Amino acid sequence: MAEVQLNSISKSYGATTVIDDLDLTIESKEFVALVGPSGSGKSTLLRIIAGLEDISGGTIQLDGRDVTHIDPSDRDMAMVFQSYALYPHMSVAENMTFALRMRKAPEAEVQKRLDQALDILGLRGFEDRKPGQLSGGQRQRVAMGRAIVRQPSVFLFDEPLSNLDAKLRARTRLELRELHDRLGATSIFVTHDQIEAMTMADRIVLLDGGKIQQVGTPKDIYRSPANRFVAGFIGSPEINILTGPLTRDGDELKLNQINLPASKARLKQLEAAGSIGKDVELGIRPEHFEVLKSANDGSLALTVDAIEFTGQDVFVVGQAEGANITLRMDLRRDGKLAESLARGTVLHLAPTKDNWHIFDIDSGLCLTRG
Amino acid sequence: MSVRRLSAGRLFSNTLVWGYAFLILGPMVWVLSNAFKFQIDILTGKIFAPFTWRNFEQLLFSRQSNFLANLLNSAIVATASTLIVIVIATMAAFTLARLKMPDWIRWSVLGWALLFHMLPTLTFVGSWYQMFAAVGLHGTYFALIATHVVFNLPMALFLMMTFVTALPEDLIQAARMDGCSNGAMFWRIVMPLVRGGLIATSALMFIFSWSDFAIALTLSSTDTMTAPVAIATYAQEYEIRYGEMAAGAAMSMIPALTLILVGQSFVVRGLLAGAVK
Repeated sequence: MAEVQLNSISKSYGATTVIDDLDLTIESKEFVALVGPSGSGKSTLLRIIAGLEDISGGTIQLDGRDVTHIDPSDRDMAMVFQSYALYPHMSVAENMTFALRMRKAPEAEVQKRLDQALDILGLRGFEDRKPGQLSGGQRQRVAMGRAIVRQPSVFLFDEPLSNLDAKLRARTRLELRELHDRLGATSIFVTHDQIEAMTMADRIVLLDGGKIQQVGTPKDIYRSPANRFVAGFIGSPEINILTGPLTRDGDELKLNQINLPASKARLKQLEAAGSIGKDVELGIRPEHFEVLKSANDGSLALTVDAIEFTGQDVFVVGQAEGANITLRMDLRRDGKLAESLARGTVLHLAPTKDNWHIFDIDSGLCLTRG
Repeated sequence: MSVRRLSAGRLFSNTLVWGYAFLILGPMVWVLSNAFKFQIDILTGKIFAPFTWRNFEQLLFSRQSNFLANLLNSAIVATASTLIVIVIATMAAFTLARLKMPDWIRWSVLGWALLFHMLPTLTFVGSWYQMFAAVGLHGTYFALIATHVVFNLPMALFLMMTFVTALPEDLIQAARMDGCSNGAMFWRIVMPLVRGGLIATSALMFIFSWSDFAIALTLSSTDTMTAPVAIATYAQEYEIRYGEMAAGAAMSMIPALTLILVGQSFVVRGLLAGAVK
């Protein structure tokens, strides 16, 4: 049971504001990912929660208790560092039990918790090794073990998987999520990797420029991004963006002659936002196009530049309406067509119903969010 | 083409290195060889002369010589001052490098240390003599140890700063999360990890103190005279006892040489000890 509450947190170094008036509540037992590009303030925010960084304003509460000015070690939080930060002169067992010994925990308790952690992490037999004698994956486990033995109410992870190779990372991702469910603590996870965030987190907090852009479940954030930045940051390959005037003719909605099939509710929404007749940005994810047999009025003509085969999908990159467009083709459905593609081929695409977003050109806000 | 140019470059650098080595080793060989010659052979400049232990016997066992006591004095002063210097320097380096403090304090301490280190020793020696004489401490071990501490501290501080700052910030923060007070962090995390640098710096400080001449000449008395000063006393008004001087110099080289050999392997290891991954 540990709810973390951040109230109008701000942090600046001199004149540079890193975090600007940020509010966030992380529920007990929740797994939250802080995601954002470099310099978005996500690591700083984690260090602020840990107490390793002072804040310029605001308060931090843990289960209603104000911990803003409490020492990092008294916050009942444990952190796993990106570099692992293992003590090189101590053995695996010493590394993992150091915090307990600093608290003068009874020896029997220390031993019991160490044994548990060694079993959970499969580190049995490595107790006496020094970090220098371990592989990268094992070091990562020791770093986790160091946090686990403390049985904290909040786990803080600072990009703990970024030093692992791709295969190990995918496996550790699952294990980490499993561990979270098993331990029942609150976890806050910093990453710049959207796949990590999407696959592991209950909720994603997307940061940019020290401000929260959107908070929501992975599905939420993917399906209805709050703004242009969120739409572009989440999703790989990136969302396609086209710019032009939005026009309406009866029930038909068009951007630059491209037909946008829309439900009544969506039409109403856009009408209400006053965006009909104005220049807007259109965002369509690569998988949300339908490939037509022939051109029709309102389809998008894509001239193929490159074809990327990834196994299940094919990414087709090309030019349309003066913009770079990426199309995702499912080989199970469009296998034959995908085989016949070559550089220079022209494909005719149609957006599918309601699977597109309109963004305000100035504010970047999504106008089609329901 | 490139092979020939490369070998020309190597020839040049080899000559440079060997020339430099000769500059250092030449006088050493000359002194060492003199230590095993009779006075008359040294004066006549014979290169190959009969071998003798006489200079060492005179130096160590003659009634006129106190050289063993002088060596002991050197050892006492150098050991004590090195211990004090290294403890202060390491703690100060940790404080300056890793604890929160206003920048101006950090830079004024380091700036003062640098300034102090740049001034020649002899600038201070006169006033130190007066100060110690005034309070009756002239000629004591305390005077020698205290001045050696003061004199070597800046250098030790700068060296230990580089070792402490080389420790990854994450490690310090991890220790903080694990519940380390500043004291516990210093003794349990910082000290073991800078051990290599500590040994290297200690070796260097010991050598500086051991080979100091100017301070010891001014502040020591007959009882506390250190080896370098004692060696100088063999150059007397009517007779320069080259043989004994050479023997004394040879003997006082031994601890310094040993420490350099031990210390230099630790400089390299000390730099690697902080690696995170």
